[in-house]
Amino acid sequence: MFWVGLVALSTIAVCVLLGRHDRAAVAREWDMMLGGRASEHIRSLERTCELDHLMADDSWQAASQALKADDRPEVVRLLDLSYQVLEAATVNRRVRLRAVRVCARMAAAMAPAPPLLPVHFETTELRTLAGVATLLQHILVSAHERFVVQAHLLALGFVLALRAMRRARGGRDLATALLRFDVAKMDWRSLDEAHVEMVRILLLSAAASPRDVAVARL
Amino acid sequence: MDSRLLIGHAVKVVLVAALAGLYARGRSGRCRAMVAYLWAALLGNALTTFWPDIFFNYAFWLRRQALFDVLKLLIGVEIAVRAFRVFPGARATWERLLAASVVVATTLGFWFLPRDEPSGAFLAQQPQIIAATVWLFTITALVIVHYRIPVDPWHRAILLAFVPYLLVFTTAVTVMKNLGVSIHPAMGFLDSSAYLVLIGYWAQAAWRREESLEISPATRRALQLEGA
Repeated sequence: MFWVGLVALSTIAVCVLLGRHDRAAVAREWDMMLGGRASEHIRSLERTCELDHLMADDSWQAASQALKADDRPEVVRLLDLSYQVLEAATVNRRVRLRAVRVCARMAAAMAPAPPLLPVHFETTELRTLAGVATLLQHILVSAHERFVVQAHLLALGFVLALRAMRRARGGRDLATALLRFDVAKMDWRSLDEAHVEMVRILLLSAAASPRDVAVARL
Repeated sequence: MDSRLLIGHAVKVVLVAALAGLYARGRSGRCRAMVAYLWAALLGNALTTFWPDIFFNYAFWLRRQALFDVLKLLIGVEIAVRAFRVFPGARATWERLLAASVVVATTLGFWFLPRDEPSGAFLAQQPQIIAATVWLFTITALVIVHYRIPVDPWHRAILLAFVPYLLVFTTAVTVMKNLGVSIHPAMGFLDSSAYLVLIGYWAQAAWRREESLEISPATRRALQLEGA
Protein backbone atom coordinates (compact mmCIF):
# COMPACT_ATOMS: atom_id res chain seq x y z
CA MET A 1 0.00 0.00 0.00
CA PHE A 2 3.05 2.25 0.39
CA TRP A 3 3.33 2.56 -3.39
CA VAL A 4 -0.37 3.29 -3.80
CA GLY A 5 -0.04 6.06 -1.21
CA LEU A 6 3.00 7.46 -2.99
CA VAL A 7 1.19 7.44 -6.35
CA ALA A 8 -1.90 9.02 -4.72
CA LEU A 9 0.21 11.87 -3.28
CA SER A 10 1.89 12.41 -6.63
CA THR A 11 -1.49 12.41 -8.35
CA ILE A 12 -2.76 15.14 -6.05
CA ALA A 13 0.43 17.16 -6.62
CA VAL A 14 0.24 16.88 -10.42
CA CYS A 15 -3.49 17.66 -10.56
CA VAL A 16 -3.12 20.71 -8.32
CA LEU A 17 0.02 22.01 -10.04
CA LEU A 18 -1.00 21.49 -13.64
CA GLY A 19 -4.70 22.05 -13.03
CA ARG A 20 -3.94 25.63 -11.99
CA HIS A 21 -1.33 26.19 -14.68
CA ASP A 22 -2.53 28.94 -17.01
CA ARG A 23 -0.45 28.83 -20.19
CA ALA A 24 -1.82 32.10 -21.56
CA ALA A 25 -0.97 34.00 -18.36
CA VAL A 26 2.51 32.49 -18.24
CA ALA A 27 3.08 33.35 -21.91
CA ARG A 28 2.01 36.95 -21.22
CA GLU A 29 4.53 37.17 -18.36
CA TRP A 30 7.26 35.98 -20.70
CA ASP A 31 6.08 38.40 -23.34
CA MET A 32 6.41 41.26 -20.86
CA MET A 33 10.04 40.26 -20.33
CA LEU A 34 11.10 39.20 -23.81
CA GLY A 35 8.72 41.08 -26.08
CA GLY A 36 10.93 44.14 -26.39
CA ARG A 37 8.54 46.29 -24.37
CA ALA A 38 10.55 46.20 -21.14
CA SER A 39 11.40 49.89 -21.25
CA GLU A 40 7.76 50.73 -21.91
CA HIS A 41 6.71 48.72 -18.83
CA ILE A 42 9.36 50.42 -16.72
CA ARG A 43 8.27 53.88 -17.83
CA SER A 44 4.66 53.03 -17.05
CA LEU A 45 5.67 51.75 -13.61
CA GLU A 46 7.74 54.87 -12.92
CA ARG A 47 4.77 57.06 -13.86
CA THR A 48 2.48 55.10 -11.51
CA CYS A 49 4.99 55.40 -8.66
CA GLU A 50 5.52 59.11 -9.30
CA LEU A 51 1.77 59.66 -9.20
CA ASP A 52 1.53 57.92 -5.82
CA HIS A 53 4.37 60.08 -4.46
CA LEU A 54 2.76 63.25 -5.81
CA MET A 55 -0.58 62.44 -4.19
CA ALA A 56 1.00 61.57 -0.84
CA ASP A 57 3.32 64.62 -0.91
CA ASP A 58 0.50 66.92 -1.95
CA SER A 59 -1.68 65.80 0.95
CA TRP A 60 1.24 66.15 3.35
CA GLN A 61 2.02 69.69 2.14
CA ALA A 62 -1.63 70.62 2.45
CA ALA A 63 -1.52 69.26 6.01
CA SER A 64 1.50 71.47 6.72
CA GLN A 65 -0.39 74.49 5.41
CA ALA A 66 -3.37 73.55 7.58
CA LEU A 67 -1.07 73.34 10.59
CA LYS A 68 0.20 76.85 9.92
CA ALA A 69 -3.45 77.98 9.72
CA ASP A 70 -4.02 76.12 13.05
CA ASP A 71 -6.77 73.99 11.47
CA ARG A 72 -6.10 70.83 13.51
CA PRO A 73 -9.00 68.65 12.20
CA GLU A 74 -7.89 69.42 8.64
CA VAL A 75 -4.30 68.43 9.48
CA VAL A 76 -5.48 65.07 10.78
CA ARG A 77 -7.74 64.53 7.78
CA LEU A 78 -5.03 65.37 5.25
CA LEU A 79 -2.45 63.25 7.04
CA ASP A 80 -4.94 60.37 6.95
CA LEU A 81 -5.40 60.98 3.24
CA SER A 82 -1.66 60.86 2.62
CA TYR A 83 -1.44 57.68 4.67
CA GLN A 84 -4.30 56.04 2.75
CA VAL A 85 -2.60 56.74 -0.57
CA LEU A 86 0.59 55.06 0.60
CA GLU A 87 -1.30 52.22 2.29
CA ALA A 88 -3.01 51.33 -1.00
CA ALA A 89 0.28 51.72 -2.86
CA THR A 90 2.01 49.41 -0.34
CA VAL A 91 -0.41 46.61 -1.19
CA ASN A 92 0.38 47.15 -4.86
CA ARG A 93 4.16 47.14 -4.23
CA ARG A 94 4.05 43.97 -2.14
CA VAL A 95 2.03 42.16 -4.80
CA ARG A 96 4.52 43.30 -7.44
CA LEU A 97 7.49 42.20 -5.34
CA ARG A 98 5.90 38.79 -4.89
CA ALA A 99 5.52 38.57 -8.68
CA VAL A 100 9.14 39.70 -9.06
CA ARG A 101 10.26 36.85 -6.79
CA VAL A 102 8.28 34.32 -8.83
CA CYS A 103 9.40 35.71 -12.18
CA ALA A 104 13.04 35.74 -11.03
CA ARG A 105 12.98 31.98 -11.63
CA MET A 106 12.40 32.68 -15.30
CA ALA A 107 15.75 34.40 -15.78
CA ALA A 108 18.67 32.10 -16.54
CA ALA A 109 21.08 34.60 -14.95
CA MET A 110 20.44 37.62 -12.76
CA ALA A 111 22.18 40.97 -12.84
CA PRO A 112 23.18 42.12 -9.34
CA ALA A 113 20.71 44.43 -7.61
CA PRO A 114 22.12 47.56 -5.95
CA PRO A 115 22.41 46.93 -2.20
CA LEU A 116 20.05 48.46 0.35
CA LEU A 117 22.30 50.57 2.57
CA PRO A 118 21.44 51.97 6.02
CA VAL A 119 22.45 55.47 4.84
CA HIS A 120 19.51 55.45 2.44
CA PHE A 121 17.04 55.46 5.34
CA GLU A 122 16.11 57.65 8.28
CA THR A 123 13.96 55.48 10.56
CA THR A 124 15.65 53.02 12.93
CA GLU A 125 13.62 50.02 11.74
CA LEU A 126 14.56 50.54 8.12
CA ARG A 127 18.18 51.25 8.94
CA THR A 128 18.29 47.94 10.80
CA LEU A 129 16.58 46.18 7.90
CA ALA A 130 19.08 47.66 5.46
CA GLY A 131 21.90 46.51 7.76
CA VAL A 132 20.50 42.97 7.65
CA ALA A 133 20.22 43.24 3.86
CA THR A 134 23.86 44.33 3.60
CA LEU A 135 24.94 41.45 5.81
CA LEU A 136 22.96 38.94 3.75
CA GLN A 137 24.51 40.28 0.55
CA HIS A 138 27.86 39.10 1.92
CA ILE A 139 26.59 35.74 3.11
CA LEU A 140 24.52 34.65 0.10
CA VAL A 141 26.33 33.09 -2.82
CA SER A 142 24.37 33.56 -6.05
CA ALA A 143 23.01 36.75 -7.57
CA HIS A 144 19.64 35.03 -7.85
CA GLU A 145 19.48 34.30 -4.10
CA ARG A 146 20.49 37.88 -3.30
CA PHE A 147 17.85 39.21 -5.62
CA VAL A 148 15.07 37.09 -4.10
CA VAL A 149 16.11 37.92 -0.53
CA GLN A 150 16.29 41.61 -1.38
CA ALA A 151 12.76 41.43 -2.80
CA HIS A 152 11.59 39.83 0.47
CA LEU A 153 13.33 42.53 2.53
CA LEU A 154 11.90 45.32 0.39
CA ALA A 155 8.39 43.95 0.92
CA LEU A 156 9.05 43.88 4.66
CA GLY A 157 10.49 47.39 4.46
CA PHE A 158 7.25 48.70 2.95
CA VAL A 159 5.33 47.25 5.89
CA LEU A 160 7.75 48.83 8.40
CA ALA A 161 7.63 52.23 6.69
CA LEU A 162 3.85 52.13 6.65
CA ARG A 163 3.79 51.20 10.34
CA ALA A 164 6.10 54.14 11.10
CA MET A 165 3.67 56.46 9.29
CA ARG A 166 0.71 54.99 11.15
CA ARG A 167 2.44 55.53 14.50
CA ALA A 168 3.43 59.09 13.52
CA ARG A 169 -0.22 59.92 12.82
CA GLY A 170 -1.17 58.94 16.36
CA GLY A 171 1.07 61.58 18.03
CA ARG A 172 -0.56 64.36 20.07
CA ASP A 173 1.85 67.04 18.92
CA LEU A 174 0.82 67.57 15.30
CA ALA A 175 4.03 69.36 14.28
CA THR A 176 6.12 66.41 15.47
CA ALA A 177 3.65 63.99 13.91
CA LEU A 178 4.02 65.75 10.56
CA LEU A 179 7.80 65.63 10.77
CA ARG A 180 7.90 61.96 11.74
CA PHE A 181 5.39 61.16 9.03
CA ASP A 182 7.54 62.94 6.47
CA VAL A 183 10.63 61.00 7.53
CA ALA A 184 8.78 57.67 7.18
CA LYS A 185 7.36 58.86 3.86
CA MET A 186 10.86 59.57 2.55
CA ASP A 187 11.94 56.08 3.56
CA TRP A 188 8.91 54.71 1.78
CA ARG A 189 9.99 56.62 -1.31
CA SER A 190 13.50 55.18 -1.12
CA LEU A 191 12.01 51.71 -0.92
CA ASP A 192 9.78 52.49 -3.88
CA GLU A 193 12.74 53.55 -5.99
CA ALA A 194 14.57 50.35 -5.02
CA HIS A 195 11.49 48.33 -6.00
CA VAL A 196 11.39 49.94 -9.47
CA GLU A 197 15.08 49.16 -9.83
CA MET A 198 14.40 45.50 -8.99
CA VAL A 199 11.72 45.28 -11.68
CA ARG A 200 14.13 46.89 -14.15
CA ILE A 201 16.88 44.39 -13.28
CA LEU A 202 14.48 41.48 -13.58
CA LEU A 203 13.30 42.54 -17.03
CA LEU A 204 16.85 43.17 -18.23
CA SER A 205 18.08 39.85 -16.84
CA ALA A 206 15.27 37.86 -18.42
CA ALA A 207 15.71 39.57 -21.77
CA ALA A 208 19.49 39.04 -21.72
CA SER A 209 19.29 35.28 -21.17
CA PRO A 210 20.81 32.79 -23.65
CA ARG A 211 17.35 32.40 -25.24
CA ASP A 212 18.24 35.39 -27.39
CA VAL A 213 21.15 33.40 -28.77
CA ALA A 214 18.73 30.60 -29.60
CA VAL A 215 16.48 33.08 -31.37
CA ALA A 216 19.37 34.38 -33.41
CA ARG A 217 20.03 30.86 -34.61
CA LEU A 218 16.44 30.29 -35.79
CA MET B 1 -21.50 -9.58 -24.99
CA ASP B 2 -19.02 -9.46 -22.10
CA SER B 3 -18.92 -5.93 -20.66
CA ARG B 4 -15.11 -5.93 -20.65
CA LEU B 5 -15.06 -6.82 -24.34
CA LEU B 6 -17.54 -4.03 -24.99
CA ILE B 7 -15.27 -1.55 -23.19
CA GLY B 8 -12.33 -2.96 -25.15
CA HIS B 9 -14.06 -2.17 -28.45
CA ALA B 10 -15.02 1.29 -27.19
CA VAL B 11 -11.38 1.94 -26.21
CA LYS B 12 -10.32 0.92 -29.71
CA VAL B 13 -12.72 3.41 -31.32
CA VAL B 14 -11.59 6.22 -29.03
CA LEU B 15 -7.92 5.35 -29.62
CA VAL B 16 -8.49 5.69 -33.37
CA ALA B 17 -10.23 9.04 -32.74
CA ALA B 18 -7.31 10.24 -30.58
CA LEU B 19 -4.72 9.25 -33.19
CA ALA B 20 -6.79 10.81 -35.98
CA GLY B 21 -7.05 14.02 -33.93
CA LEU B 22 -3.29 14.10 -33.38
CA TYR B 23 -2.56 13.73 -37.09
CA ALA B 24 -5.39 16.04 -38.22
CA ARG B 25 -4.39 18.86 -35.85
CA GLY B 26 -0.67 18.43 -36.50
CA ARG B 27 0.10 17.41 -32.94
CA SER B 28 1.61 14.03 -33.67
CA GLY B 29 5.16 15.43 -33.70
CA ARG B 30 4.84 17.07 -30.30
CA CYS B 31 5.31 13.84 -28.38
CA ARG B 32 6.42 10.92 -30.52
CA ALA B 33 6.59 8.54 -27.57
CA MET B 34 2.91 9.26 -26.95
CA VAL B 35 2.03 8.43 -30.56
CA ALA B 36 4.01 5.19 -30.21
CA TYR B 37 2.14 4.46 -26.97
CA LEU B 38 -1.25 5.02 -28.61
CA TRP B 39 -0.33 2.81 -31.60
CA ALA B 40 0.93 0.10 -29.22
CA ALA B 41 -2.27 0.39 -27.19
CA LEU B 42 -4.39 0.15 -30.34
CA LEU B 43 -2.48 -2.87 -31.61
CA GLY B 44 -2.59 -4.64 -28.24
CA ASN B 45 -6.28 -3.87 -27.89
CA ALA B 46 -7.06 -5.14 -31.39
CA LEU B 47 -5.17 -8.37 -30.83
CA THR B 48 -6.87 -9.14 -27.50
CA THR B 49 -10.39 -8.20 -28.63
CA PHE B 50 -10.35 -9.76 -32.13
CA TRP B 51 -8.36 -12.89 -31.24
CA PRO B 52 -8.98 -13.39 -27.52
CA ASP B 53 -8.26 -17.13 -27.71
CA ILE B 54 -4.68 -16.43 -28.70
CA PHE B 55 -3.89 -13.10 -27.04
CA PHE B 56 -6.20 -12.73 -24.02
CA ASN B 57 -3.82 -14.38 -21.56
CA TYR B 58 -1.42 -13.46 -18.78
CA ALA B 59 1.76 -13.98 -20.80
CA PHE B 60 0.67 -11.55 -23.52
CA TRP B 61 -0.56 -9.04 -20.92
CA LEU B 62 2.86 -9.12 -19.23
CA ARG B 63 4.70 -8.43 -22.47
CA ARG B 64 2.31 -5.67 -23.43
CA GLN B 65 2.59 -4.13 -19.97
CA ALA B 66 6.38 -4.21 -20.13
CA LEU B 67 6.27 -2.33 -23.44
CA PHE B 68 3.81 0.18 -21.97
CA ASP B 69 6.07 0.73 -18.96
CA VAL B 70 8.99 1.61 -21.22
CA LEU B 71 6.83 3.88 -23.39
CA LYS B 72 5.39 5.67 -20.33
CA LEU B 73 8.89 6.47 -19.10
CA LEU B 74 9.80 7.67 -22.59
CA ILE B 75 6.71 9.91 -22.62
CA GLY B 76 7.76 11.46 -19.32
CA VAL B 77 11.30 12.06 -20.54
CA GLU B 78 10.22 13.41 -23.94
CA ILE B 79 7.72 15.86 -22.43
CA ALA B 80 10.35 17.16 -20.03
CA VAL B 81 13.02 17.46 -22.71
CA ARG B 82 10.64 19.33 -25.03
CA ALA B 83 9.22 21.55 -22.29
CA PHE B 84 12.65 22.59 -20.97
CA ARG B 85 14.56 22.78 -24.27
CA VAL B 86 14.81 26.58 -24.20
CA PHE B 87 15.03 26.86 -20.39
CA PRO B 88 18.52 25.76 -19.32
CA GLY B 89 17.97 26.59 -15.64
CA ALA B 90 14.78 24.56 -15.45
CA ARG B 91 16.38 21.69 -17.37
CA ALA B 92 19.34 21.60 -14.99
CA THR B 93 17.01 21.47 -11.96
CA TRP B 94 14.93 18.73 -13.59
CA GLU B 95 18.08 16.71 -14.30
CA ARG B 96 19.24 17.07 -10.70
CA LEU B 97 15.84 15.97 -9.38
CA LEU B 98 15.75 13.08 -11.85
CA ALA B 99 19.21 11.90 -10.83
CA ALA B 100 18.25 12.00 -7.14
CA SER B 101 14.99 10.18 -7.90
CA VAL B 102 16.78 7.45 -9.85
CA VAL B 103 19.10 6.82 -6.90
CA VAL B 104 16.21 6.70 -4.39
CA ALA B 105 13.96 4.62 -6.69
CA THR B 106 16.69 2.10 -7.44
CA THR B 107 17.49 1.72 -3.74
CA LEU B 108 13.82 1.29 -2.83
CA GLY B 109 13.30 -1.05 -5.78
CA PHE B 110 16.03 -3.40 -4.59
CA TRP B 111 14.89 -3.06 -0.98
CA PHE B 112 11.35 -4.18 -1.81
CA LEU B 113 12.39 -6.77 -4.41
CA PRO B 114 10.17 -9.87 -3.84
CA ARG B 115 12.36 -12.83 -2.97
CA ASP B 116 9.69 -15.50 -2.56
CA GLU B 117 7.60 -15.22 -5.75
CA PRO B 118 9.76 -15.31 -8.90
CA SER B 119 6.81 -16.12 -11.20
CA GLY B 120 4.80 -13.10 -10.07
CA ALA B 121 7.76 -10.78 -9.84
CA PHE B 122 6.60 -8.55 -12.68
CA LEU B 123 3.13 -8.08 -11.17
CA ALA B 124 4.72 -7.53 -7.77
CA GLN B 125 7.01 -4.88 -9.25
CA GLN B 126 4.25 -3.05 -11.14
CA PRO B 127 3.40 -0.59 -8.32
CA GLN B 128 7.08 0.36 -8.03
CA ILE B 129 7.41 0.86 -11.78
CA ILE B 130 4.24 2.97 -11.86
CA ALA B 131 5.38 4.97 -8.84
CA ALA B 132 8.66 5.74 -10.65
CA THR B 133 6.75 6.83 -13.77
CA VAL B 134 4.34 8.98 -11.79
CA TRP B 135 7.22 10.50 -9.85
CA LEU B 136 8.88 11.41 -13.16
CA PHE B 137 5.66 13.16 -14.21
CA THR B 138 5.45 14.87 -10.82
CA ILE B 139 8.94 16.35 -10.90
CA THR B 140 8.29 17.54 -14.44
CA ALA B 141 5.08 19.25 -13.27
CA LEU B 142 6.90 20.77 -10.29
CA VAL B 143 9.65 22.24 -12.45
CA ILE B 144 7.10 23.50 -15.02
CA VAL B 145 5.17 25.39 -12.36
CA HIS B 146 8.23 26.59 -10.43
CA TYR B 147 9.97 28.03 -13.50
CA ARG B 148 6.76 29.34 -15.10
CA ILE B 149 7.17 27.27 -18.28
CA PRO B 150 4.38 27.79 -20.87
CA VAL B 151 3.88 24.07 -21.37
CA ASP B 152 2.17 22.80 -24.53
CA PRO B 153 -1.56 22.05 -23.91
CA TRP B 154 -1.14 18.56 -25.37
CA HIS B 155 1.71 17.79 -22.94
CA ARG B 156 -0.36 19.17 -20.09
CA ALA B 157 -3.30 16.96 -21.12
CA ILE B 158 -1.04 13.90 -21.22
CA LEU B 159 0.34 14.48 -17.73
CA LEU B 160 -2.94 15.61 -16.21
CA ALA B 161 -4.85 12.54 -17.37
CA PHE B 162 -2.17 9.88 -17.17
CA VAL B 163 -1.38 10.30 -13.49
CA PRO B 164 -4.94 9.74 -12.14
CA TYR B 165 -5.31 6.72 -14.42
CA LEU B 166 -2.04 5.29 -13.15
CA LEU B 167 -3.37 5.68 -9.61
CA VAL B 168 -6.42 3.59 -10.55
CA PHE B 169 -4.19 1.05 -12.29
CA THR B 170 -1.72 0.67 -9.45
CA THR B 171 -4.60 0.37 -6.96
CA ALA B 172 -6.17 -2.36 -9.09
CA VAL B 173 -2.87 -4.24 -9.40
CA THR B 174 -2.20 -3.98 -5.66
CA VAL B 175 -5.70 -5.19 -4.80
CA MET B 176 -5.37 -8.11 -7.24
CA LYS B 177 -2.02 -9.03 -5.77
CA ASN B 178 -3.36 -8.96 -2.21
CA LEU B 179 -6.84 -10.46 -2.67
CA GLY B 180 -6.15 -13.08 -5.32
CA VAL B 181 -7.87 -14.33 -8.47
CA SER B 182 -11.48 -13.84 -7.29
CA ILE B 183 -11.19 -10.07 -7.55
CA HIS B 184 -9.62 -10.04 -11.04
CA PRO B 185 -12.84 -9.47 -13.11
CA ALA B 186 -13.97 -6.54 -10.94
CA MET B 187 -10.56 -4.91 -10.98
CA GLY B 188 -10.22 -5.56 -14.70
CA PHE B 189 -13.55 -3.81 -15.28
CA LEU B 190 -12.49 -0.85 -13.11
CA ASP B 191 -9.19 -0.54 -14.94
CA SER B 192 -10.80 -0.81 -18.39
CA SER B 193 -13.40 1.85 -17.53
CA ALA B 194 -10.72 4.23 -16.22
CA TYR B 195 -8.66 3.59 -19.35
CA LEU B 196 -11.65 4.42 -21.55
CA VAL B 197 -12.08 7.74 -19.70
CA LEU B 198 -8.34 8.43 -20.09
CA ILE B 199 -8.31 7.80 -23.84
CA GLY B 200 -11.55 9.78 -24.21
CA TYR B 201 -9.93 12.78 -22.52
CA TRP B 202 -6.89 12.51 -24.77
CA ALA B 203 -9.05 12.22 -27.88
CA GLN B 204 -10.87 15.38 -26.85
CA ALA B 205 -7.54 17.14 -26.17
CA ALA B 206 -6.11 15.91 -29.49
CA TRP B 207 -9.03 17.41 -31.42
CA ARG B 208 -9.19 20.66 -29.41
CA ARG B 209 -8.46 23.83 -31.35
CA GLU B 210 -5.23 25.64 -30.53
CA GLU B 211 -5.73 28.59 -28.19
CA SER B 212 -4.30 31.80 -29.59
CA LEU B 213 -1.77 33.55 -27.37
CA GLU B 214 -1.62 37.32 -27.44
CA ILE B 215 2.14 37.62 -27.43
CA SER B 216 4.69 39.17 -29.72
CA PRO B 217 6.30 37.11 -32.50
CA ALA B 218 9.70 37.61 -30.84
CA THR B 219 8.51 35.94 -27.62
CA ARG B 220 6.79 33.21 -29.61
CA ARG B 221 10.04 32.43 -31.42
CA ALA B 222 12.15 32.69 -28.29
CA LEU B 223 9.96 30.24 -26.38
CA GLN B 224 9.42 28.09 -29.47
CA LEU B 225 5.68 27.96 -28.84
CA GLU B 226 4.45 25.66 -31.57
CA GLY B 227 1.11 26.49 -33.07
CA ALA B 228 0.46 29.29 -30.58
